[in-house]
Amino acid sequence: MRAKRPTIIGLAVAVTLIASACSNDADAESGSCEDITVEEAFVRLPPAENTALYFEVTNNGDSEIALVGASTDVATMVELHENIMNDGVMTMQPVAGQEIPIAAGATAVLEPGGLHVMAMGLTATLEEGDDVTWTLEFSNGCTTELTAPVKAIDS
Amino acid sequence: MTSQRLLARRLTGLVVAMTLVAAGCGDAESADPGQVDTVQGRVGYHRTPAPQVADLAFIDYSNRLTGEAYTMQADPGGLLLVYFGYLSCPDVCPTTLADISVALDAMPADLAGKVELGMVSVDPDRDEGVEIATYLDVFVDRNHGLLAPDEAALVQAGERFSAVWEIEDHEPGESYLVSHSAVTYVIDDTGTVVWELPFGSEPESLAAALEGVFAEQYGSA
Repeated sequence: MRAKRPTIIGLAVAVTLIASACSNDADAESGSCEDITVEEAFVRLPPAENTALYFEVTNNGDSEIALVGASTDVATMVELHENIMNDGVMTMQPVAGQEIPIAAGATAVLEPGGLHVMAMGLTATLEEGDDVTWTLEFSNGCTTELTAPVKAIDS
Repeated sequence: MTSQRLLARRLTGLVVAMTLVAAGCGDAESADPGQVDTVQGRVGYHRTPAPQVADLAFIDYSNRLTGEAYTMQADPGGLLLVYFGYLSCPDVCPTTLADISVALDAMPADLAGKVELGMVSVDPDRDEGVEIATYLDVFVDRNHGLLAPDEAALVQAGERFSAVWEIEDHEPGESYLVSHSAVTYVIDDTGTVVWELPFGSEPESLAAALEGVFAEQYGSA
């Protein structure tokens, strides 16, 4: 919610970042997520079978990185989405190349009405206050887990 | 749907960007929108001729029961906001309705209390009327969860409002998305669409626009 966002910042829900998935990974191509911070994550309470995950992701490193994927156990399909307006018709569509670039020092904001992680075909009933675990994948190969609370649908 | 598009989908494994198809699949064909006018400093626009929608057939499930015939017009001196959406809409619909909710909170209480919200489902295969009404409770107390009585009535409504939508191709039982007009229609107590609010308007702008429409229609502000 744009109007509520400034007040929400002070109440930011802690997001748990677990970077061990990266550092413990023997895969030589896997980079580190240590320069990435994720804040303000929440899932909107789904009235039906689809919902969205929102967060702000900051690249504290020296070079560009891209968010290239997300997954969760509670949805059958997860994609990075954006909204495109054509002649007054709103179409949600996958982000081109499934890649959200984040320049060095920049923050990508995934928020209602804009970029979001779309979760289709929910396999669990989510209720307000539930925590949902997600895995985010970045272009350097690192993955990080985050836990996002389910917030009221008018969040 | 062309084979080219199906091929594209298979190749990418992604949901293909949806374009408007004017036939089949319950899509509504966009009518001539007529002349579109704006008012200085007010978000949204007005069509000429203004659509008349009180004769359209809808069933209102705000009684939480089997529904009852609904005439699409505001109470005397009030405004009815109507949105074409669907319950599985993960982002745009709840964002729009939440913005409306915030806008009403920002308006003078006497005016906000005269505003009702209706949502017409463009996904009647999945959406139950009672569920739509329950969904709307989160946003605006005075609400109407609406279904058209049949597909022909829904298509007619879409044409009248110049609202369009397209249900994404899907296998039976598979989740799908619906592209749709993201406009909030403002209807007066005669059943005339007197103003239209585009997606993405800030709640403050929505509130100001609604106050402007109240003043224009009923001479109060």
